[in-house]
Amino acid sequence: MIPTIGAGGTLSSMTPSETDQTPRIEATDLVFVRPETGFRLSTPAFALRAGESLAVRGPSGCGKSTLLALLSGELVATEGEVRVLGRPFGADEADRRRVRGTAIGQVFQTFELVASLDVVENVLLPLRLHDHLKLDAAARTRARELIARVGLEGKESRSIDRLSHGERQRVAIARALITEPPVVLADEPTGNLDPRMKRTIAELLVSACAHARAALVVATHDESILPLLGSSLEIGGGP
Amino acid sequence: MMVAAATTLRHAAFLAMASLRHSWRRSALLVVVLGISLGIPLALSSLLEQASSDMRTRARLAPLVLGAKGSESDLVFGAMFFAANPPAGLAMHDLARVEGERLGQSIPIAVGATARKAAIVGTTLDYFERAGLAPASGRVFATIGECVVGATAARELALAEGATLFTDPESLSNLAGVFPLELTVVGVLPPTNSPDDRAVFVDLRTMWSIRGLGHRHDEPAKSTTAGAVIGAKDGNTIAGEALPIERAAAKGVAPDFHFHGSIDDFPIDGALVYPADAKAQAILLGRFTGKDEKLQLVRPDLFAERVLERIFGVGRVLGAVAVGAALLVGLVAASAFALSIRLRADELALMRRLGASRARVALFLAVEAALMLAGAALVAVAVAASAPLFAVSVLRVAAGA
Repeated sequence: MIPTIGAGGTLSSMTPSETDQTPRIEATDLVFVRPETGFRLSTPAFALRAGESLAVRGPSGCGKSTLLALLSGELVATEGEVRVLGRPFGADEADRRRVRGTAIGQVFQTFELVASLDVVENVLLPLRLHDHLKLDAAARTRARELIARVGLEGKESRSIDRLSHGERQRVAIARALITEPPVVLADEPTGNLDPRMKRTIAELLVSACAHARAALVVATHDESILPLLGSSLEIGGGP
Repeated sequence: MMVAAATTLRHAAFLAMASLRHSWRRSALLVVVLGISLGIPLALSSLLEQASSDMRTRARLAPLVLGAKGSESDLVFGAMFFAANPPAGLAMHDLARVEGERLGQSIPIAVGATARKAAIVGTTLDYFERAGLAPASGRVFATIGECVVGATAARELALAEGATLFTDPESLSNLAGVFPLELTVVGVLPPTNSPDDRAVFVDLRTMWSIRGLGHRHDEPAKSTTAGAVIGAKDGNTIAGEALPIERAAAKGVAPDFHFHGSIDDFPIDGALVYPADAKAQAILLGRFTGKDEKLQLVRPDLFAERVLERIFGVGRVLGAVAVGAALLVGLVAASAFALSIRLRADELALMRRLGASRARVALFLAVEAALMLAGAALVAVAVAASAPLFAVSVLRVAAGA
């Protein structure tokens, strides 16, 4: 069963055939305006189904990260709406936060790991942040499987300080998938990696999301990873 | 609902512990500094309470204390607390000035010797009667060389009825001086939370023997030690310095101890005085106030109040300083904690980005702060709990003993 968002933002279940037909994430024509800076972002409508991926491209400052924040519910669009598994984000901040915590996995440019936790506990961190997620034996097993999938088997108890940048991003990918989210958003996931590692991590991200049947949106200006992503969206927002 | 709250708290505690472990040096330093600074005012309060309780309780042991003229503090702390050496100059015959005309009863006290660092108190059996003490096991001393041990001394020195212990030599460097006397434990007192708990009680004659005023030895004429006899005069054998002096308190040898000189002139360090009535007390107090008087009669209750007034005066100042210091340290600790939160701003922002509510993040920090405060409270309690151990020392310092 694939988790999805039910009424009120709680998790319910659909059969795979149902969810395969439903876009994991879709955005109508989105407009986001910051009146105080004059920043305006406008994007065309798009939808991603299970296993599909999208590259969001554009120069620095064009609004790639802003688009990801709109897709994650961190920001609310001035016009248009975002739907995850067919349901729009509610106006309620708590509801959006719940969706963001459970239905959206996130990977960041600077890894954003907790230094005081080891590899497996970093992966399990999202489960400690939400009451409706269970951190049980099954979750621990899932975490170990994900760690193995991203190539860190045997390093479950290793301190984050003792990992290379590439390894840290692998941990971040495993963490993004621990809640089995229908959508994964990655903001410049290869931005802090050396050229050799960029492609490896990008391939890993794409394959892990495909394996988890999650839709993947990657904001990047790294041309080398574009061939790995199914589609591409060029944006040109800005002040 | 309750289960969810418990789970949330469990996760918060896990993350807080992980964070504290990760920066354990900083955490430990904060906990210890905070604990000590919180503990000092508590310790001071506890110390003053203990000191005042000890002092007042002990002062009730006897209405008056007799001793040689000199430091009043040394007399009271020596004769009642066994923690000082009273001024020298009191002898057994001085007690007649109290007991004559039936003005009161006096109980002689001789201190100054130790056995395995425990104070030895030479006295009479009246002491136990007046103090309401009866051995928890065994009996009171009957002959020279027997002792009754206080509860704490018995525990710390692992002494029980039938055990023996040697008195400590007067001076390790003076090999020719009085050497140790072996004491046999015949009784152990029950705990009383008083100086009696740490004392080793012996008969006055035993104390005089410890001081070298009494001893036993072989019959010189029968001694096989070379030099034991150095001559004879008028039919008496003259013993030499080589005659072995027996210090062991073996069974049956007590009667062989003997004293040279009159016991009336033998020294004591103080006497607990129990006047027959209020009038007798007034007469006795007047009797020892002459200008040329070589003795002093002290009212321990008044002495205790004077000492406590001094202690509480200093204690109030110290207390205010300690509270101020604790507040300052608390402020510094709070600032350090706030700084550590700022340093972890990225980590906290990550939790928010992963969907945690502000309340949830605040809970994590609150649990972390609570864990540190709990650790600091433990340190504070340990500091405060150790304070009463220094009560007698504080009393002595305050009294100038």
